[in-house]
Amino acid sequence: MISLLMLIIALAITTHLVNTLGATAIKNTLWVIFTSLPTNTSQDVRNQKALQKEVVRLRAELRGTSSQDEFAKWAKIRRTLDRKIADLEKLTGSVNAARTKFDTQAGFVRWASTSGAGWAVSLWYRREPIFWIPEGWVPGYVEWGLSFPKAPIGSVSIQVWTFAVAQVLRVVAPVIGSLITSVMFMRKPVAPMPAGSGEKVKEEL
Amino acid sequence: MSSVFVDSDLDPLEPTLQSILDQKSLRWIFVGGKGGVGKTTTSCSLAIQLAKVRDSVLLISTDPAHNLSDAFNQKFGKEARKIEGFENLSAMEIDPNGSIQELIEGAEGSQNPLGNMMQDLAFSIPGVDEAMSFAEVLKQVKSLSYSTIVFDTAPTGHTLRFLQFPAVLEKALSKISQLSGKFGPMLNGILGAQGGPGGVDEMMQKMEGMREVIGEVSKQFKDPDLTTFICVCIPEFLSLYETERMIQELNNYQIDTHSIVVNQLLFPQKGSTCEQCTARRRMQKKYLEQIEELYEDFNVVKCPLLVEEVRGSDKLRKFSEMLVTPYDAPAED
Repeated sequence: MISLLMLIIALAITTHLVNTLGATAIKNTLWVIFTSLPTNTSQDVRNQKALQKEVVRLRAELRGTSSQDEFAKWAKIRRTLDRKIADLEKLTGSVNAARTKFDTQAGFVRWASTSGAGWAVSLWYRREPIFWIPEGWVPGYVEWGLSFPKAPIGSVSIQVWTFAVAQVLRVVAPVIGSLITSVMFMRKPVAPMPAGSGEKVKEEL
Repeated sequence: MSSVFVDSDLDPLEPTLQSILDQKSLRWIFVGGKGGVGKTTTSCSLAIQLAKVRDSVLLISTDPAHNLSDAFNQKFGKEARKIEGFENLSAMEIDPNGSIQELIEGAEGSQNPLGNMMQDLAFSIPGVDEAMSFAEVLKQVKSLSYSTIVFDTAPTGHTLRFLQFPAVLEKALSKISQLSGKFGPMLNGILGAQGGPGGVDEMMQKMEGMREVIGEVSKQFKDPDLTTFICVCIPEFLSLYETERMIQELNNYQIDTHSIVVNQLLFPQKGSTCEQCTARRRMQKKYLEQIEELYEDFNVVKCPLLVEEVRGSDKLRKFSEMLVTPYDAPAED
C-alpha cells in the first residue's frame, strides 16, 4: 500500500504547511481571490473602495470650502458627504457580513481538506496495514502497539503511521524552513552601496 | 435622502407662507429655530393669519420660558384660553417636562420596587419625555376640536428627537412587555404580598399604552398632509448653520418642511449714514444669497427688523401681513 503511505505523508505536509503559513493569511488570500471574481460581493467591495475614496475627497473639499463665505456650497458638500457616509456604512455592514460568511465557509473547507481529510482517511483504512514489518524484529507487545488499534498484528496501522509522520515533520520542517529562508537570504543579498554614494547624497542635500 | 419634501403643486419661489394657509389638510404646524430669532413672533403671526382662513386655531407654546403671555400681553396657562380680540384663536402654555415629572413622582409614591425600576427603565429611553408630553398635548387637543394647531417649540433643537427613535422605542417597550408576559405572573406571586396597588400587569398596561401613543404621534407627525415645520432664522452664520442642521434632521425624521422665515433683515433708508447698518446689511445680503441658493425649493419669507418690539395683538396683526404679502423693501443706495 505505497499509495496510502504517500497519501498520509502528503496530507501531513499539507496540514503542516497550512498551519505554519497561518490560517489567517490563507483566508485573506482566498478573500482577495474571491473578491476579484465577478460576484455580487466583489461588486460591493469595489463600490466600498470607491465610496471610501469619495468620502475622503469630499472631506478634503469640505475642509477647503469656507462655511462662512460660501455657505450654500459648503452645505451642499456636507449633505453629499453625509449621504455618502450613510451609504458607506450600509455597504461596509453588508461586506462585513459577506466576509464573515466567507471566512466560516473557507475555514470549513480548509479543515475538511486537511485535518478532516486525515481523520476520514484514517477512519476508513483503520483495518488496512500500511506495511508489514519482518517477523521477530520487535517483541510481540510492540507489534501489538504498532498495529493499534485495528490493523492486523505484525503490520503498522494507519494511526501509528500518521502519528510517526507528524512527529518527523515536526522535527524536520523547521530545519527545512530555516534552510529555505537562508538560501533565499543569500540569493538576495543587500544591494551594496555604490562607491561614493555618500557624497552624492550630500550633494543632493 | 437629502432632497426635501416639496409639494409639487406649489410655486417653489413664492416668498410667502400662503401655501401653508392654503393647505387645508394641515393640522400640526411647528415653528422652530434657535433662541432669539423670532420664533414666538412668527408663530403668533402665523396663528393670526391662519385664524382668518380656518374655523379655529390653537397656539401652543412648549417653551419653558413662556413668551406667548408677553407677546399678547395676556396671561395663558395649561388650559386653552381665547386670545382677546380674536374670535377663533386660542392659546395655551405647557411645560414639556411637567407631565413626565408628574408620572415619575407618581411612581415614587408607590411602594412597588419593580414598578419603580420599570419606570426608570422606560423613562431613560432618549426622547421619551418629549414624546410623552406631546402625547399629553395630543390627548388634550383631541378632546377640543381645533382645525389647526400651531406649536411654538422650545429652542432646544431636540423637540422632535423622539421621532428618530420610534423603532428603538417600540423594540425596547415590546421587549419589556414580552418579559413581563413571561415573568409577570411569577413576579406578581413574589411581590404579591408587598406589591399592593399597581402590580406588574398594571405597569405593563401603562407601558403598552405609552407605546401605542408614541406610535400614533410619530405617524401623525410624519404625514406631510397633516404636519409641517417652519424654520425661523436670521441671516447670520450660526443661525444658518443651525437651520441647515435642523432641516437635515427633520429630513431624517421624515418630517415635512418647505418654509423658512428669515427674520430681522435690515433695510437701511436711502442715503442712510449709519455705518453699522450698511455693514450689517452687506453681511446679511451675503447670507441671504446663500439661503436662496441652498433652499431653492423652499418658501423663503423675508421679514424686516422693526424699530419697535412686536408686542400686542395689533402689532402682531400688522407683522403677520408680511407672512402673506412680501415685504416691500425701501429703495437702497
